[in-house]
Amino acid sequence: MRMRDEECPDCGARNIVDSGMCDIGTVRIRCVGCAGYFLPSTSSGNRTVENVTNAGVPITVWEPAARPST
Amino acid sequence: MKQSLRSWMADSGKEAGLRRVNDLVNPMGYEVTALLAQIEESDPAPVHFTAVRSLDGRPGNFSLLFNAYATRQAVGTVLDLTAGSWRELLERYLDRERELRDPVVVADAPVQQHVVTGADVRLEALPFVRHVEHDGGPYFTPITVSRKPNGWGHNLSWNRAMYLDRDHMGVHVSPRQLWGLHREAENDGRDLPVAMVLGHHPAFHLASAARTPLEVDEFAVAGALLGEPLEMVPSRTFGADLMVPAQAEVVVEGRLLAGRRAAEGPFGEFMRYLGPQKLSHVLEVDAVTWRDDPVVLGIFTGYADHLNAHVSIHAGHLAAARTAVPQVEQVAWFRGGGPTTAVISMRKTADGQPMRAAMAVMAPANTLKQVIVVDDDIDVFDAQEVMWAVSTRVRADVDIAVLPNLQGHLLDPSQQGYAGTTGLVIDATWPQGAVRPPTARVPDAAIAEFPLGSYRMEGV
Repeated sequence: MRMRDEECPDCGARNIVDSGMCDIGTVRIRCVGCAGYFLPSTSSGNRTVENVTNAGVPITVWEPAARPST
Repeated sequence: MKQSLRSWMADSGKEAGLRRVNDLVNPMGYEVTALLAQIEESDPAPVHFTAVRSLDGRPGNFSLLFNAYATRQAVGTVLDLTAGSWRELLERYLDRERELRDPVVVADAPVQQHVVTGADVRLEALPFVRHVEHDGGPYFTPITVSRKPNGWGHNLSWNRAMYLDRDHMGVHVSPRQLWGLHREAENDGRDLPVAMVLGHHPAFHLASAARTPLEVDEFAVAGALLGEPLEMVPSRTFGADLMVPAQAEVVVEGRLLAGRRAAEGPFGEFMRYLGPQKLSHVLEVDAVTWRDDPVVLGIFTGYADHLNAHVSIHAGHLAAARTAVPQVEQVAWFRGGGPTTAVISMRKTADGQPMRAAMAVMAPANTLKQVIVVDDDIDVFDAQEVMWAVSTRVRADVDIAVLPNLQGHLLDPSQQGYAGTTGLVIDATWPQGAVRPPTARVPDAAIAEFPLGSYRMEGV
């Protein structure tokens, strides 16, 4: 799986991410440092969630309602 | 009756080298894995952390056990084998695995001594662990139980599960059986009921890694490895539609949601790299059940505990290779980076057998992508000997085969796309009928005739 190294704009933490996830363009990265979510710095925008997850039905990306305190 | 984690600790702990840490530890602050890393450097052993903070930071009543597979000796005790070599261990594993034992339904369910459901579920009360630097968050390494179609029983899968909120976890699922079962349900618009086992006898956990045909009940494989039928009870959420192991320590019941994925990861993986953050399956939790004084069994990911826990896959390689080519002697894999590269030794009787055996081990395991085949004079557990054979018995134009378009493993950092890799077979055996040059070595008779101890030798 190809990877990208994305820096969190809020806390500066380093995030190792599947490049396919970044290629979608609308899917947010979950920061390992602050548990906040942010969009990748760049994206080709040429892939879909279904394509990246190899799913056979439409997929919605789920995020927790609130940033965990832990 | 011996089928529980606590019975293994009581009966085999001493033989396995089990130690206890009774100081209060915080697994979210790397305190547990920092200690495990130092223990691995000095004297690897299973470790029971008896006082552990939960994810909410409070001292909890869930303890943690790691390193059940940290040494060959410890793995041996899981299969009732005292000491022994890897060779003996693999043979014991295969002997056990052949004796499938159907599970039995029992009335007594220690794992359901405590139950929380619905809005009362609070995953923060559990002792999640942050394992290695850059891990995406709090993790468990559970065994996921699901139901197979056509009355084929239960599927077991070893997964990584990351805390998302009080009743959700992100779960990495490799594209194998559990992935297929979920996809089938998802295509019908259904969630997949599952139960995550957070601690059982270590043999139960090994069963989840066995390369078993879809029509075989993996509860029966667990019974085979345990040496007695697995006791099971209806889950609290799904009743008899999803049975759970009665003697487990903790079970998280829920559904892998249809049409949902979540950002999950990174996580330190068996290839000794971080597996990246990716879009993974989402578990919505319906109930958590546990027994008195529960012990959560975790895997020390990326370290010996994790690598040795692949013994089921290793033994599966041996069985597959022997089925294809009875002249196969042994199969090993390089422990440096997970079971991606296997070495087969054989008493070759026909050219072409090495490729046949290589394909047999490569077919059932999506982790494996490189196979080296050697003659039986080579010790497959000695990497230096194996590379000697590769260096001296291989001609690249005739002895190396590249297999394109092979399904690989998502966590292989060299992989392209969702699951595409390339296979490699190196035939390092002598050609059939070739005159083998004698190894350059001093005659044994001379060694016996001129023992070093009979001579006066001094430094200069």
